[in-house]
Amino acid sequence: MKINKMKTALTAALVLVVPVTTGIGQLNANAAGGSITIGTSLPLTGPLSAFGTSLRLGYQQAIDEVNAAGGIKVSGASKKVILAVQDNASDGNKASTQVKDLVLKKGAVALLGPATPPISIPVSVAAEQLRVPLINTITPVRAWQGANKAGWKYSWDVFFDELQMTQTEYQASDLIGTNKKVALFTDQEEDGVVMGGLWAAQAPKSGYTIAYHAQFPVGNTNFTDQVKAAQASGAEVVIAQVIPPDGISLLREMKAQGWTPKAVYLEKAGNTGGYPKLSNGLAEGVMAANWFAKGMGLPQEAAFISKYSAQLGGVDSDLGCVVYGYTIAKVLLNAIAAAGSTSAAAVNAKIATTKGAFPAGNVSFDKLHTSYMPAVQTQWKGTDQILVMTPAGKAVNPILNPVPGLK
Amino acid sequence: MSILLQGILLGSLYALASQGLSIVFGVLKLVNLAHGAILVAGAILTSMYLSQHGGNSFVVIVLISLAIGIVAYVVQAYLLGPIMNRRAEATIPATFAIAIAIQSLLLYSFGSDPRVINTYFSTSNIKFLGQSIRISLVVSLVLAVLFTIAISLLLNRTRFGAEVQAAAADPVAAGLNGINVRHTYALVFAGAAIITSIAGAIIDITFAIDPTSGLGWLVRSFTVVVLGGLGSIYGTLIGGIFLGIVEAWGAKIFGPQYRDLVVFGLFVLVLVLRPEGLASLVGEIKNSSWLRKVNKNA
Repeated sequence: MKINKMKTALTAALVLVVPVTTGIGQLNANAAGGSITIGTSLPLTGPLSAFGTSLRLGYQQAIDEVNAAGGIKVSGASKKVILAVQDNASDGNKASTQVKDLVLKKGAVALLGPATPPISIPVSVAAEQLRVPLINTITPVRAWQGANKAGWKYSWDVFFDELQMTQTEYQASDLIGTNKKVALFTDQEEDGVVMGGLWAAQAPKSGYTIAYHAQFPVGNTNFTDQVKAAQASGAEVVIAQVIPPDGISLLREMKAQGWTPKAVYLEKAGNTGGYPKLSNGLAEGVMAANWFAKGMGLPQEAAFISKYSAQLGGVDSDLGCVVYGYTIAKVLLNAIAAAGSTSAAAVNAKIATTKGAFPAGNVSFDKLHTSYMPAVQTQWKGTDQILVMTPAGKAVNPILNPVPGLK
Repeated sequence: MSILLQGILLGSLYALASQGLSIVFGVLKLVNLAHGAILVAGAILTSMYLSQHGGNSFVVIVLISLAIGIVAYVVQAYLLGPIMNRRAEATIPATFAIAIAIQSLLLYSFGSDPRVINTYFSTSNIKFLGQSIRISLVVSLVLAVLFTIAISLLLNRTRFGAEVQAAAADPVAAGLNGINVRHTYALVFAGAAIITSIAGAIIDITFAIDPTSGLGWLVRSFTVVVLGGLGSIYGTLIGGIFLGIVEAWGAKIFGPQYRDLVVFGLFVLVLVLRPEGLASLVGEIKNSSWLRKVNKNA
């Protein structure tokens, strides 16, 4: 009995003491001026783990470079930068709690974002409450802006605009010549609903007709009737906003029904690294809007491709996440250096004045705290997503059509 | 006709996916929240093995399923069994924990990407009554019917089945009569896991599965088991096919976006109006006075 009581007391003491002392230790380290902590809650596991893993590589590279150059001068003293990472398991609520922990217990002076609106938005809300600067990426800007009608004060976003992105499918289809009939497949996740609406609105402006529109719950597996109806509608262009497994189910059903459209755009699903291999070749020739590809003429493009393409299995969206992660980390580190301080207000003010060329492209923020980056169209060929169209709608590489994987 | 056929075929896949859950509930009175995770494990392990080592898909499916069955035997005999003996309701969080553990293990080992199993009929169709249908769904119909008959024969015509039924009815009395209840329960759990793993592989041949797909299939399987009647083997087949038909009709009439509303609306309706499940209707119709009258007149 006594031993049990002692065990309970010891456990309670450990539970209480360890986090407190660890937290104080880190706060002291920061307060003592040894280092600057940048916090990030990333989806390192769960369905968005590919984004989180790649962003981490980019964040770390930017920080390693700064540290190799002697760190950042704050209040006259050079300080090393530490990246404090927590895994939110692709859960927005968990991410929100973690960034509070990173700021309040680990002493993070600024934050780097996770990815995608369902996680970036709760993290942005937490950053606003904490009044700590946060830069997001891999988060389409309109969804992010719409989440705070009053306007963000400490949160920033560097990514493409959904409206421009939803024009790229029609522009790329113009390059191959189709009957301009489109079958839309959009799931009922927030982005599926938003993008479905944008594509439908954009179609007549681009001279296209939505011949069929299927909406379905996430996790839809059986596309038999929808594919039959889409094929019967005479559509030669398929645009879908689906999660990766649903994308494969859709391709399998198209193949089973012998339907080979001229162009298939699988947004979201098609940005999964190695998608042709995962789909057993069906996704070969499938297109997807992208934020990075070889041939965009971006600064350090070749260096990033040579450093990461083997590790990531090709030149694809995952590599783009590394580039965007590196870019926003550089923007933040530059802002801290320019402020010469870790004061949230000073760093935030310097982020606002950012203007320059970064590996992801030119970054400069508008009043809505957004830096618009252009979306391009890419096509899967083997392990790479090949640039087929520039943001201006110009052809770069020939678009293989009809979709080779479905032949 | 097309809708009915699609509904039956898809429903047979739902029935196949639900049989393991139904057996475990019927015999062990265990709500197995790890059911979806076992299904996903069967699919992903098979897919990963085939992509890395190749081999005959069907042999690999059977071998992986047997391996999962062996693990399931151990889990039931040495983990869930003792928990059931102490406190039956504690098995619910225990199976939930197993589900999380399996999912985490799959994510850690293979990442979050979707996986498929490729066979010569993964994307092939045949013509039947003028309708084009997926061969993989025909395979699932055949398997669902075969497993239903086999399980029924095993439970009702064999000594092992008699022992299982005795253990299910009164484990204490069964134990006193020399039946090794722990071993019997573990064999049932293992058998259910084998069927569930095979179902996962068939789903992965037809569609695609990622490590987080388990919850969706668990919910669907629960719906089937409730519709058919808890623990009823034939009821599971009926419930699955009924769900498939309702889903296909619901998508046709209201649009696919209302699929879940139709399916879970029906689920709640059956729970309220007929908690014993739809399969019991068959018995009631057989025993109804008007049918007896018709038979008498005939």
